[in-house]
Amino acid sequence: MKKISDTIKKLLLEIEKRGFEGEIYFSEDESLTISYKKGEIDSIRKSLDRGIGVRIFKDKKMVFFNTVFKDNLNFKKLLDSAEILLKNSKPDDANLIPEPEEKYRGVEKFDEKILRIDVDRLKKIVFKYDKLIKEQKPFLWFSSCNKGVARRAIVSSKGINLYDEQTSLNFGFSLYFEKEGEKWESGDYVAVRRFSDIEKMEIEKRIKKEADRARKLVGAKPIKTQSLPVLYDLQTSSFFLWIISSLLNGNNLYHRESFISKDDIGKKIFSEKINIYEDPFIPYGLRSRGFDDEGIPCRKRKIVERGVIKGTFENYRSAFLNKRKPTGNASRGGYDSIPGISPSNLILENGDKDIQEIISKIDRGFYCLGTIGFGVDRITGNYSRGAYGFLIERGEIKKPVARVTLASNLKNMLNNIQALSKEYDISRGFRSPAILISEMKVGGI
Amino acid sequence: MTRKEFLKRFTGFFAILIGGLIIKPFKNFAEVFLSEIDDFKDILSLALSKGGDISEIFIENTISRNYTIRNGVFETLRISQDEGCGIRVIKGDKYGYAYTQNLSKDSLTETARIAGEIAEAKSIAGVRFSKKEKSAEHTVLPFKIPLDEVPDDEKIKILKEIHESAFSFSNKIKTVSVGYSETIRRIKVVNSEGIHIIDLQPIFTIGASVVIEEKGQRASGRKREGKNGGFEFLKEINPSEFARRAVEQAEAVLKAKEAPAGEMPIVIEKGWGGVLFHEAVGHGLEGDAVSENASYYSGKMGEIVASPLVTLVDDGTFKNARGSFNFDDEGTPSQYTVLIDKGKLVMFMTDIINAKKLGLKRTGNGRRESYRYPPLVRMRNTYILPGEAEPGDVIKSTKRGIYCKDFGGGQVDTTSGNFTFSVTEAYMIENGEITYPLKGVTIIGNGPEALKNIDMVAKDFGYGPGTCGKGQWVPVTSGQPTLRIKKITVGGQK
Repeated sequence: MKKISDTIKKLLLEIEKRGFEGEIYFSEDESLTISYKKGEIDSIRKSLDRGIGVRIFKDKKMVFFNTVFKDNLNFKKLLDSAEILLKNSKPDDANLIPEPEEKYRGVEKFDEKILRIDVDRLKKIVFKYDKLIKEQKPFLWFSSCNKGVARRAIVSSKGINLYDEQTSLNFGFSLYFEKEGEKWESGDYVAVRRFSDIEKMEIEKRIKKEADRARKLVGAKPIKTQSLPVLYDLQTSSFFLWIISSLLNGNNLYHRESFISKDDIGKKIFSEKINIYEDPFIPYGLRSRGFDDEGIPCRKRKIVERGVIKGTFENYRSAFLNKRKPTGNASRGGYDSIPGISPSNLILENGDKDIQEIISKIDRGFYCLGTIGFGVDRITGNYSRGAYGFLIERGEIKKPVARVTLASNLKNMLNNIQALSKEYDISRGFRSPAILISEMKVGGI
Repeated sequence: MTRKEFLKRFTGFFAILIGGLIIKPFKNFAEVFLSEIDDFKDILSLALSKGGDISEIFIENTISRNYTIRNGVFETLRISQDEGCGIRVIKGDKYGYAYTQNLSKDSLTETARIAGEIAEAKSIAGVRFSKKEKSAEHTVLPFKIPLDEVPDDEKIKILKEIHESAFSFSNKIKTVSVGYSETIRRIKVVNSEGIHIIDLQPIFTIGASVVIEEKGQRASGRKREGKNGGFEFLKEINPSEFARRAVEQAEAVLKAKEAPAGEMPIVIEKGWGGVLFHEAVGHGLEGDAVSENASYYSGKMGEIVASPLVTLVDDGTFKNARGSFNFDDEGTPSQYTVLIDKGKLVMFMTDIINAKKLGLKRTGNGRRESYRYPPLVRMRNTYILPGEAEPGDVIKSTKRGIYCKDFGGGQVDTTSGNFTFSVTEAYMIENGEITYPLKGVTIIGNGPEALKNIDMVAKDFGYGPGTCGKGQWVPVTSGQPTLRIKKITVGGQK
């Protein structure tokens, strides 16, 4: 890493020599994946990916370029091309190079035990869980395990000089059942940053649950079109955190590409059952980080309190445009992407009843286990997505249902929350309990 | 084309123009790219030393540029370069895969060794080499002006024109965003069967999206276009027409009323609507899902799976289309593949592994997002062939239904065949006439059922660009004539 760090600093000097300010984002991703199919190894994949994303700034103009990172990198030529592009550009006050802050806090997200996992060890991990899937007797099943080590560094002309690393271990599976010529696939995954956490993820229980659902859902049919209360299960409810983070994304707010406007901040917009906070410092949390992808420190903070909007998600650019402070939410898909915006760990506070109890109080409703499609319009709030799950009648789970649509408007949905469950899935970066919405249009036959 | 000219065009080794400057790509890449097949013999053999069936080297270099202008501000000006080499060893239907960004012989050797670990073996497969360099003699991606020889400002000018025109079409406009991206992709595939190809795939996409507002109500519209070819195709675009279409869509959405829910007929306008069949049917005909018995269509070869009005093809040779190429990412020549012929299932799409498993020929559908991924069976340009009806008659003969003009994203569960789609621009059909626009329309159905329910196919045709995700993203197009599905579930709020 020392050699890489020296090289990056040299590259920054080359940028500065031309009279630019610069920011270099370096990332390195090491990955090993082993996949099983029907109890046998199907594939082994190994990779190491290294690259830099560079922003050069001059006279309020900015150009981004990226490249794989290697010894004989022809940086000068890339810089020449970027310089020409910069000349073709127009000044914009929002083209600001991020300034470092005084205080940075570290967070635990690296585990030597994961780092040391080799091919043989990884095979054993997958095989252990793969056997449990086989016991459920699906006609086809896949399982795979991935070990990853990610490192990133940010250096800039403003004096940002940051580095961190994290480990990850993921296990995912899918299983297939067949009945009278019809088939159904079901699956789940878990992800951890610390080896010892994998046992806490109750993989055996997840396998049984998915197998049970798949057996029941084979051949599921649509129901008649009707309005019903809808209970979003744990695997589907994190969508609400995702959509709220997108509605409160500073870039979307600035461009008014969200049905929430800047004037709504500080007002009660959602159901008072909604309390959301962001916590980047959860030890070994999936989205934990001490600083964001522009080198701004992350913060633990309230986003929504009893339905009132308390915070938005900003990167350096959106913060300037919205006249707010950066919130440590700059995020890049990799070295090849310009900083966007995304939250760290986001938590929707849970309720006091368990899922079973919530179901027992529903006279007639739809228990949504999965959605398909992307029919969500952030600007108008229109929501219409495909779904499958079970019909609830007199407090009990009854027949399986598939190929129906759930439609409403997000503004209504986020205000008509009747209950939140006690349970939530700890294996996700967006942690949400199950959510009961009082009424939606279920489109069927 | 002489060998020298060919290499010049394909490798850019002699001169690539970036932003007006003549630069050479990395010496290392060019050297590897120009190597003869014999130079890879050691690596291919080493990869098979534990007993794999086929070893394969995939080398790729891409140079991309993106520009975005939003409300007069340059939001993105980006240059991206990427290169690397993926090595795969196939053993039966299993594989080992590793990649490296360091193209030195040492690094390739180490990568080959890792990929070879999949095989634990007894017999060693033979390595056959042909000396012949296969290159595209009749390219399906002909072009005159290489995109990378056109200075940035000429492309940016077109973006600015679209951006300016959009504002001229409506005084309700709040946001106009116009984006352009191009990727010049050079690939080389060498394998132990003797395949040795190189291909050049220059692709661009241009898109406009607008947000309009009236009395506190907002709506968005968009338009996009993409080709695999040269700058002359970009110049064919009429900026004003392009912008007008995006604004027109937003205006329709602004006036839209709540959509009904329940089962009814839908008429799909010619063009990008074919994406419905890409999702609903195409994915189920990809050989990997079929060979695992994980597709609805597994074991149904030769059966009637659609209305006799339906002939569905997947065409990798559609001239300059976004999903076309001369060779796929395993080195198989691209083809025109009829999948469903007048309602009868006649072929699945295959790659090397699944062609063997299914006992079918290779159709040239082995594609990958980049050297970071092993190939998967993927669609190219997928479309339904035109029929005989007059497009106007399809609407006239529909008493009550929905006219679908543009689609957003869709998704399918290939196992059950269930799929869903959001229709971004839809209109009500009442008594054979298009009456008013609808909002929040989603359709959901079962692919095989929808194909059987097609009861009218018009003689017109259109297609549009898209990007398909299956763990990896690849450029595709979808197309079809105007057609009607006699009943399908529409998910509105009314």
